[in-house]
Amino acid sequence: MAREPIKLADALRRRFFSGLHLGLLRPGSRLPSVRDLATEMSIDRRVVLRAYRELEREGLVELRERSGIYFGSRTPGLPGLSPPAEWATDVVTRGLAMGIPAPEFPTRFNSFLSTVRLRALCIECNRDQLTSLCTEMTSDYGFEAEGADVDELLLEGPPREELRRADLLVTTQFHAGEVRELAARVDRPWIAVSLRTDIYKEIARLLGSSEVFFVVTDHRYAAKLHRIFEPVKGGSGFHSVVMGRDDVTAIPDGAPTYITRAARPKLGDQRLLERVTPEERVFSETSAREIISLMIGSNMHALSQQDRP
Amino acid sequence: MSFSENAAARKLRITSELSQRVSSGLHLGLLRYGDRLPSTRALAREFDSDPRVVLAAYRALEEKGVVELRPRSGIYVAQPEDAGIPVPFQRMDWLIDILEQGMSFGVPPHRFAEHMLRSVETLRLRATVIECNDDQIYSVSEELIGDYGLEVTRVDIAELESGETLPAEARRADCVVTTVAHAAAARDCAARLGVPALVLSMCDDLFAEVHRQLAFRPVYFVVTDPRFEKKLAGFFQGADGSDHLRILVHGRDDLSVIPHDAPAYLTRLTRAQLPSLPLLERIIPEARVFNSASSRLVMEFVVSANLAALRGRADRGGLAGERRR
Repeated sequence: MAREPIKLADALRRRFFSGLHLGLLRPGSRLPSVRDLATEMSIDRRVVLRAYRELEREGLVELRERSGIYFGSRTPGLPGLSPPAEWATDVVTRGLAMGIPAPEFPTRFNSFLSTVRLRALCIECNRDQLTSLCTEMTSDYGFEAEGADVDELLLEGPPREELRRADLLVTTQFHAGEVRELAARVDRPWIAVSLRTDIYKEIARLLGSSEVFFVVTDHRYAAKLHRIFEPVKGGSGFHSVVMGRDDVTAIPDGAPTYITRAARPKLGDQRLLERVTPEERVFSETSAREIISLMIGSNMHALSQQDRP
Repeated sequence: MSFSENAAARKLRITSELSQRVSSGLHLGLLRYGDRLPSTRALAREFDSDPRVVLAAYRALEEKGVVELRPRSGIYVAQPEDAGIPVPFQRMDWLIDILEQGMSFGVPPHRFAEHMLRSVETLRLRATVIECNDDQIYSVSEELIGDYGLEVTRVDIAELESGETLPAEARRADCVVTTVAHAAAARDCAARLGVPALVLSMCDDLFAEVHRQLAFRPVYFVVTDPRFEKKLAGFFQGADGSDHLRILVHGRDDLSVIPHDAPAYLTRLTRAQLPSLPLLERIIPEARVFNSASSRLVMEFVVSANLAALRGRADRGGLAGERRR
């Protein structure tokens, strides 16, 4: 009697392993109840239970109270993953499922992003937005980027050199019409990025209860901002401060203050620098997706050309 | 020359049989794009047919883009569609989605590859692999090394049971890896080392396929360690057609007894020891063995260890005492 549970445990262990390998059992599958096994094997239930307990000690099965007996134990495994770790894990695991070993994944993936270095020409009507567009195209997407003033490009004459050397024209929706026309002239793809609206919404909200200051470098951007906030309730409380023209020290302490990427490095006032809200990414998710598609598409095309004999 | 009607019918049958084999091989992970396929001569023997008929079947498959005939070299599983682009990446949506998600975690596309590289290769991680036979120790280890970039110390469970102390290298492990059969021993060992135990489940496709075939014909396995022979026999014990199972041990049994038309499976270890056997041409090598949940578990371990190390570095403002590549 004393040896019986061990023997039964052996038999069950063999049976479960075989089921596992044949795909009949998976971790988490429900196993026959003590009663069913006892009936099937014509043995005492207590003997079956003892065998199951033995397997439970080995971590092979799990007895869940008032629920049943399950194959495999819940992996004590690893502490919970942070969302970025979860994402990275998913990405590399899917890569592996597609046949790419994890150590090779980054390089293989990268060839779809940086086989060709693409050149973007950002087109806008003011230096502040040109700087934002160029910075984002370079630091986030790895483009070579240069900026050009929309009015200058539209001048009569043959297309300017920077238009002809660009792989992509980038502008905002304000100048979509003009850039579409320019793109047609040189036969280049173009994109009118939509900008994230969170910063504008936040300023509009703040204007309801306080004055808001915005430090820029180009008076044309200042004028544009005024047009945006004029109709807003409290819009008269919106003040643009153009570097080199206006006095930044006139900004009251404690007033919400924003600054463009172009203006930030020029701001000498350390005290103000510490409390201004810097500009974050400006492209909306939809635009990000468009730019990424174009990058991957161009790289894939370049790769398929390379491999052609 | 033109085939008689009989030959044309045979060509069709062989074409469909080969097409089926390639597609199920790819599906099961037993074949990969670019793998070499059996020669027309070998297949002609197997199908008891004229090599020219087999060649015609291969040509038909070449037209469909399933195989590629390289003159004076052999016949290979073809890359589908555009040869310039590796298959996984033909799904552009997938790439875009990944990059878009990455941006929401503050990883711009331009930094993506670098971020992934750090997530998997900041640390050189070491696994102690515990198994009860050389074949499985080898296949688990090779997969950890090749697919996950881990370093591996192999431990035979017999050494653990005999009370021998673990080799120093095994004690320096960052994790202990085993299969379900040795979960308890591995957890025990991991607890002593103070590292996680990763208990892996194997992909059941191969065994399910073998099980299906056993119902109507003999299936051969070639292994290296007689202990795996015994274990393997146990998996199929009592299953339908288990009397069709033939397990040969390399070095002990005569491999030439394997009939030409029988499916034959080779463990990775056996294959590594038989670099140029003509038999290999038509034998199916063991491919990846971890199932998808286990694959994710190992990857979780790799990524979380690396990201934790990166965070630690950032906290200390430098590299201290870490084993780096």
